[in-house]
Amino acid sequence: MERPAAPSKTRPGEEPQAYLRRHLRFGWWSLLIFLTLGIVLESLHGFKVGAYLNVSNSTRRLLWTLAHAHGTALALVHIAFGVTASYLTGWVGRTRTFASMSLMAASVLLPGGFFLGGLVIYAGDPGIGILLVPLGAIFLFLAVLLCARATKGSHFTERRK
Amino acid sequence: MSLEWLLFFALLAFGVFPFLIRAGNVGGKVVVGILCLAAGGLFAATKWSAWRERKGFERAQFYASVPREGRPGGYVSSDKCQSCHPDHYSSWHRSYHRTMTQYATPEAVKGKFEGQTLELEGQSYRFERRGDEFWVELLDPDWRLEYLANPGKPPATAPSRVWRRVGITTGSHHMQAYWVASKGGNLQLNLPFSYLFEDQRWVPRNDTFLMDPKHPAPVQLWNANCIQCHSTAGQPKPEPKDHAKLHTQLGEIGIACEACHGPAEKHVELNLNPARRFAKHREGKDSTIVNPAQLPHAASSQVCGQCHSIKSVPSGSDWKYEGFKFRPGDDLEKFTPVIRPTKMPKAHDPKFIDERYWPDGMVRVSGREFNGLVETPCFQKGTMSCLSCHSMHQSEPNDQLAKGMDSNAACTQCHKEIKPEHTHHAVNSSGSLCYNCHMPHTTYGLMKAIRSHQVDSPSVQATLKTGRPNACNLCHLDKTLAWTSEKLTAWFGAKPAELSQDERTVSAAALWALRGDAGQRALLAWHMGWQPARQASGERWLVPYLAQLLEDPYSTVRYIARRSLKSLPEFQDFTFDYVGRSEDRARVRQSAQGKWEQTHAKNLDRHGPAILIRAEGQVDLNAWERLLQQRNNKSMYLQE
Repeated sequence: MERPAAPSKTRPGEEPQAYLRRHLRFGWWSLLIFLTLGIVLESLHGFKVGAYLNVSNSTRRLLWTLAHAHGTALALVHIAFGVTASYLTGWVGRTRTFASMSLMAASVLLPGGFFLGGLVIYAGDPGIGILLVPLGAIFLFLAVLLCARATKGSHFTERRK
Repeated sequence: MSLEWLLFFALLAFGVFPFLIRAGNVGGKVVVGILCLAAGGLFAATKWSAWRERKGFERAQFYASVPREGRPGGYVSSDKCQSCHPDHYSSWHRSYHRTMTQYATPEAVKGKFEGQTLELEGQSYRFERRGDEFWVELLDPDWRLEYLANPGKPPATAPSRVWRRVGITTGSHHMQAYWVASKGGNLQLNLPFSYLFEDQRWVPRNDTFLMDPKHPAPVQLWNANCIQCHSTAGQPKPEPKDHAKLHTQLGEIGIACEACHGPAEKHVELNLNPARRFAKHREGKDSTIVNPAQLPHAASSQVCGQCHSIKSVPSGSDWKYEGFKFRPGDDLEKFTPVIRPTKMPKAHDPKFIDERYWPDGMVRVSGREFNGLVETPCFQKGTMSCLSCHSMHQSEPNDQLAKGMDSNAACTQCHKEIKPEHTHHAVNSSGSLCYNCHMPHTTYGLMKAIRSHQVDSPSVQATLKTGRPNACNLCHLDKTLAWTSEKLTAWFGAKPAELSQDERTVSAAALWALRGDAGQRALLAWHMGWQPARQASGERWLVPYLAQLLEDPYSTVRYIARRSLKSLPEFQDFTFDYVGRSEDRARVRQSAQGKWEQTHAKNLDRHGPAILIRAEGQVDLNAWERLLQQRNNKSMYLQE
């Protein structure tokens, strides 16, 4: 007698293609957002806006530059994550979901924290937004760690041509 | 809830929310961990916010007690300059001009405040550092001010000891002075101590000036005096009905961009437009700001001269309310004319003149170089300006000399006809350097000799008339005035000088060191440590003179003598507290003399009657004592 097929371990929305779509969407949209921020920052330079360029606002300039740089870099990481996840078809379960969520959280908290920290500054001190940055850094660390661990050979499968 | 908090919560929720809605996929423990992390972040944010608010309050309190930046009148401060002029901002930022006056922050304060207690005139001063703040416990300075202002009428209240926070600092190059806030608005009163960088020690402030030791300590009010030049565009602003209460405003706390370039509000406003900036870059000049380098030589020098001169404030001037009205590019003479005793010999109090000028009107105190320049033929008949030799942006902070201007190029850029033979000294020797003969160190300030900026030629006649040491004898320390007179007559046709017996037979340096006035003694003490003078005159015979000057009644003379002595071989480790007990000085002098007898005296590089030292290493005590008895003890206070 033929045994009934075992239930799939992959829940709906958890297939590699779903990860690919989700992270590509997140990555490209956030790249657009932070590219726009870059254009805004360039304009602040062009028009010599004191709130951004005066020496007394150097903390803001630093933090907004960091927001732009981290946001842009993380957008690219999302694209890379999506593509990676589509290759690692053997990587399923909670760790993959957690890595994906962590990367999303890091992409909000890191650049967002830098930006908010620079929005309200107190002489050389940033605003409270800066405290989101270490949280974001923890999430990013975990996401990258999990992704790195998932690249072991058994998770790779032949992709359909 | 403030917008900042609102955004903080929104971002935090946005970061954590995906975990919550997909809790089933990541597991309950993970979600709990995430929530703990978020709660931790929230807790830290609350603490951070409270700490920052407290800090902000303390900051506001502090800045209410010190002269505040942001005066009206088109001043925008250097804050706005860096984004367009990063190189110029950076060179200015390195300069001692910027740090002339600073708010007392940890970056600014060089003195050691930790656990220091100093005594002066029966009063103790306890210094303390509290985090980023500097505090002093002292006799209530407001009470002391009232007491000193009305000597016959002591204040109604009894004096008490109070803690005061240090508000601002003066100086960042050689020494630093400190000011504490008064109860009178933001009036700043000086602490009676300065911190010497070279010695890394505190000394009474009086002992950093060439001042008669019997002279009472002057009361110094930063907002009334120092503000004139140690800040940018200061306005003291006393209350009309209570002049002891001030609401001082500044363009900027140190000497900043707008001190030399004028108020920049319009310049900044117009140049927000990138198209205009691009056009001006191509054009190479912008009429909305003053560039001293593009002004005629006199106007350019007056930009420096607004501070580097002894100037007269016309009576009826409202500068105490509005600040000085001179702006770079204006004619300084119309606002605060330079005091030139050569032009108005009887227009000023003789004491005022005596404390600042040599008897022929040449300025003798530091920081007043423009006075020297305006008396110089190169300025009067030529186009020499401060910027002929100095550069504010292409130079090192020390002296701010433009590239190559520490050589004869400074003079030969105009005097191309001068040949090396003119100097009568070996090429490349210190005697062949134009400024060693024409700009000798006959100015006093900052506990050292400084080059005169009145370019002139060595003259024994001028020395006899004014008492000002001439360049020849400041280098040839072992030579007499007769020797100098003979050389100047032979080389340049100078009129031979009529000299006394001592002037013919004893070296000029020995005469100034032993029987000169305090100003001359200070200059000689410094030159005895000056390397070119030691090369020309030898150094081993100098010790008895320097040892003698360790006992000088004027503390700064003792300080300079000690420094020169310590630069001699065998004396590097010599210790001497120049503000120590007077009874110790004789002992220290004898100790230096004894050390000399055992070392240098046995191997002299110069001897003879001119320097009062015999070949066998013995001092001619009779002549020595005779000259010392003739010491000019007139009371002096050089107002640098």
